[in-house]
Amino acid sequence: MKLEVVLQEAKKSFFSGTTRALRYTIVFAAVLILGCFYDLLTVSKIVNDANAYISSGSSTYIISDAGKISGKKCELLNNLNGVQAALAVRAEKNKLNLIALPSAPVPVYSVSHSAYKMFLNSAPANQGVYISNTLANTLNLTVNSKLSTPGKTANISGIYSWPSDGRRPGYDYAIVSPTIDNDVFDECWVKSWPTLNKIGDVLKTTIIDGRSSSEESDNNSSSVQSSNVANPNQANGANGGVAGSSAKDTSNIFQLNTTNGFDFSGLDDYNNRTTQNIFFIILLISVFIGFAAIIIRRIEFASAMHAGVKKTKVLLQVLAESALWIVPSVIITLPIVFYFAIFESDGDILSFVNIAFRIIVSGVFGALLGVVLAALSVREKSLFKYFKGR
Amino acid sequence: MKVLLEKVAHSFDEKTFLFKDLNYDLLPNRTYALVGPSGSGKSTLLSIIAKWLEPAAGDVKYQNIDKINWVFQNPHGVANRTVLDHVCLPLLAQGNTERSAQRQAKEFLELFGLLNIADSLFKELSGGEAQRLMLARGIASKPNLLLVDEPTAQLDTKTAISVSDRLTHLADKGAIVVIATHDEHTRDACTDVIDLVNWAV
Repeated sequence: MKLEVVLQEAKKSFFSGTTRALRYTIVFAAVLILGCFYDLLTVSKIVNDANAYISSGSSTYIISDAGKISGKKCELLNNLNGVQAALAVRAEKNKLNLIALPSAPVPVYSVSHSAYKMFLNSAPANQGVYISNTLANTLNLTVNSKLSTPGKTANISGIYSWPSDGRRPGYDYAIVSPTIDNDVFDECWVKSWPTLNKIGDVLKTTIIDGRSSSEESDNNSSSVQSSNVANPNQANGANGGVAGSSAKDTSNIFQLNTTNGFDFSGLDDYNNRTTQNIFFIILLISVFIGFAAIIIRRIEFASAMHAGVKKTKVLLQVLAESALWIVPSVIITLPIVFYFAIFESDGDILSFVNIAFRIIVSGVFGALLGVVLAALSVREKSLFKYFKGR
Repeated sequence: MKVLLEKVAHSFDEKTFLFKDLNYDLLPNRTYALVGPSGSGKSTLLSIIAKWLEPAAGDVKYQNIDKINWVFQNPHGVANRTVLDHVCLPLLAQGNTERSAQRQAKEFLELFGLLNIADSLFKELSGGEAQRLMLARGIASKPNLLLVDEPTAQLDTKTAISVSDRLTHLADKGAIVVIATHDEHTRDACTDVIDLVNWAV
């Protein structure tokens, strides 16, 4: 039997409805889509939790040492891998009296130039100060509006949000004013993801007197606020959360937001998620579908072998026929899953595609395996038995 | 070319034999009617002759038999495939082109009075038509040994006689044909009769 005849037979089976291709396409596509969604939704939730953790300020660590933080050194931390924002902050002693609100002075924070990475979504188009949205709403101000004080006017180049989600208060009704980096500040903020290893050591490099982090660690001299203690695994200088004993060291290291815990368990959640073995379950289901699709036609195939068709040709035929429902299933699945991946992956499409790809490949492999196992299990000599048992 | 049945026996357990010590040589150009009451083991003996079932005792030996076909009592086809497709398949398996297979298949269909329904689907056939189709397909596979189980059970007398003639005609071309039957006309059309009563235990 020639190959083209085998393919012709497969085509006839397909178009005659013998293959039940539509039924298997729907069932198999549903299995693939549900399998992908099941895992991708789980991963999506972990990603969303991570994003919430980061955006709440829980992955932002602050070293505070009044008048001893180098703005320049702090800004240099922006070059480290994983650092999303590093900025120096100094709380100005005098609050600003606005013409529109003469009885409610507004706190002012001077910041180094990368502050926009922390407070705004993107770099502002124009120079100026950033104000909180609470203040903007109170004064009915927008970006590029003018903020007037007695004798001075400032351009508003950005409006930031500072929700009451447990993050450090004080910025929800404030003015953030970018200034020169080569200045002395009170704090250095580092927002990183994943959180830098030994972030305490990293933060201490911004202290002006040049004490090294190892010195700090050896002396166990870093003071750590008990309620805001950083993860000991991360903040080396804050080992064990023990307050420093040295009179020289007045620095504190803490999280911008402590309400979500020291550490985000996302990686553990990801690695231990119940859906991570979904590809194996999809494999087994697909083997079953592939096997069932062929085994219910065992009389037909055993009869074909009895009519002289070799088993290898039967195998080729069932593979060709199965491709006619496996391929359409994948074609249906791909755009649906990729659409989901694009909108749920929060930028990390590749990871989502990788997860979906693994599930789809295991499904296809399983279906083909089931088809082959079923075809190999069909025996001409069992035709009579199949026939009697139908 | 022959089939040798040597002291063949069949039992449901090791004590109760259905038949025993069956010795018979099946030869080409002969048509054998396998007869006996219901439950005497006609279909079972066909399974043993086909070597699809091991005999409880004895042996079945083939000499120059390379192609066997067994047509069951109840037809089994593919519901949505045409009558022509069913008969073409064994011819395609022999390496014929589609055109050649169709031409030959139509000859076999005509032999069994099915040419006028060549394009009908298997599921649309009557029991008798389906049975004749299976016979046409069996013959199309050009077997040395053709085993047929109750070929005329679903046919009217006239058609049954015609079918018996066709099977006898196949034997005339050098095949060994064994027909399990209750039908007197079929039995009479055969050259030999194997009555299982003679070997019943």
